[in-house]
Amino acid sequence: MHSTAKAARIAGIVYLSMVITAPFSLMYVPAKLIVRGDATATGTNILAHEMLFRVSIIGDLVGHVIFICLGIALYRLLSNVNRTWALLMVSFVLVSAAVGFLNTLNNIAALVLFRGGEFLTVLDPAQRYALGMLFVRLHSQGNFINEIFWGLWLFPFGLLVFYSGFLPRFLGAWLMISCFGWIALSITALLFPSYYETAFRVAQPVLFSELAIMLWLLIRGAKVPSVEFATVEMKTV
Amino acid sequence: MNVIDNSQRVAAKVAGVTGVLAVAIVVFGNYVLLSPLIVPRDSAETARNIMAHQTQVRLALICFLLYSANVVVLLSALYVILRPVGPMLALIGALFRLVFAILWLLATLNLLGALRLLGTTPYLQVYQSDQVQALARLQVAANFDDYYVGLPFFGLAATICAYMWFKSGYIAKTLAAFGVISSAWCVISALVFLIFPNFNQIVNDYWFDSPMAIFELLVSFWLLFKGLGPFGVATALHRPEQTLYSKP
Repeated sequence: MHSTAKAARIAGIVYLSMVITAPFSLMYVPAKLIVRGDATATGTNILAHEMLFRVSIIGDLVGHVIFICLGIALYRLLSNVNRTWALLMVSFVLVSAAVGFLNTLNNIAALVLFRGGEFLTVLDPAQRYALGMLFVRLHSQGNFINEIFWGLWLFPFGLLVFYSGFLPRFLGAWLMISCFGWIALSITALLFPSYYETAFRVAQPVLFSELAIMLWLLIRGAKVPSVEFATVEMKTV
Repeated sequence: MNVIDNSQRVAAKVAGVTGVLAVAIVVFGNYVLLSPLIVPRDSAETARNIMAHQTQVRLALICFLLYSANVVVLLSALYVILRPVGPMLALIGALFRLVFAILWLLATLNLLGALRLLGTTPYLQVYQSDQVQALARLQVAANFDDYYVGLPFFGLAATICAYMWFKSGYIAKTLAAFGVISSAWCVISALVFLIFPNFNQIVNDYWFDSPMAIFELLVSFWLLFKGLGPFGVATALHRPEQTLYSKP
C-alpha cells in the first residue's frame, strides 16, 4: 500500500476510535447522571453509579490521548501539503487536549465532594452537594471553552484536505465551515447561554463534517497522491 | 548567511499581526473590561460589580479565549521563522508558549466559576450570600494565580525566541539583546514572586512583565514593517529545507 494511502487508513482508524469513545463521556454519561439545577439528585445519581462516572472520567482522558494521536496521524498524512498549516493544526489539537485533561479535574473534584470525607464535615451535606454540582457544571463550561479549539483545528485541517489533491475538496470546505460552527457555538455558550441548545441543534449539519471525513478516510482512503498537483495548488493560495 | 524562504516571510507577517493583536486583546479584555470591576479586599463590592456587568465579564472571557487562540497562531508562526536557526530550540520555545496559552484558558474557566457562583443557581442557595461572594472572589483570585504560574513559561519562551533572534540576525541585535535580558528578568521575577509573595511590594508587578511585553510588541512591529532581514551576521545552526510551496 502507498504510504499516503496507509497514513490515510491509520488516521481513519484513529478517528473512528475517537468517534466511538467521545460520545460516551461527553453525552451519554452526563445525560444519564446530571439533573440540571438539582444538586442532590445529581449527587445521588453519581454515587449510585459511581463506577459509570469513574469510567466516563477515564473515557475523557483516553479521548484526549486519542485526539493527540489523531493530530499526529493527520500531520503525517498532510504535512507534505503544507507543513506550516499542518503544524498549526497540531498546535490547536495540543491546546484542546491539555485543556481537556485539566478540565477532567473538575469531575474528580465533584466526585470527592459528593462522596464526602472527614475533612469535609465542616460543610453540611446540602452545601457539599451544591459545591459538587458547581464542579460538575464547571466541567461543562470547560467543554464550552474547548469548543473554540474543537473548531479552530478544523480550519487548517480543512485547508490541507482542500489542497491535498488526494482527498475530496468538498470535505475540506465542509471542515472549514465546521470551524466557524464550533466557534459560534462556544461564543453563544459564553455570551448567550440560554440559546446554546437551540444553536447546537441548528449547527448539527455543519458539524457532521468530521464524521464524513472519518468515514472517507476509513472507507475510501486517499487517492494516489500527486505532490506536484498539491504544490501548484498551494502556491496559488 | 541563512537563507530566508517564502514560508518564513509569510510567517513573519503572521507573527507581526498576531503579536500586535495579542497585546491589544489582552489589554482590552483585562484592563478595560475586567479590572475596573474588581475591588481589592472587598468581595461583596466585586460581586455586585460582576453581577451588574455580566455581559462585560463575558466579553472579557471571549477576549481571553481569542488571546489564547491568537497565541497558538503566534507560536506556530515563530516556530516556522526560527526553525531554520535551531529546530529543537524553536520547538521548546513553542511548547513553553503553548503552556502559557493553556493557563490563560484555565483563567477563563475560573472566571466562569465566579459567574456561576454569583448567579441565581438554585442549588447554591444553601450558602449564605457572603459565603458565595467569598468563594467567587477566590475564583477571581485564582485567575491571578493562573497568570503568575504561566508567566515563567511565557518568559522562557520569549527568552529562547530572543536568543534565536539574536543568533539569526533576522532583527536588530540590540533589540534581540534587550529581549533576552527583559525575558530572563521576567522568568526570575515571576519565580521569586511565587516563592516570596511579598516580592511585589519591593518591585511593582508591572515591572515583572512589562519590559518583555514591550520587547514582544517591538518585534511584532519590526516584523510587520521591516520584515526579516540579515540585520547583523547570521549564525544559523541549521540550513532550512525548502518547503514544497516556497519560492526558490
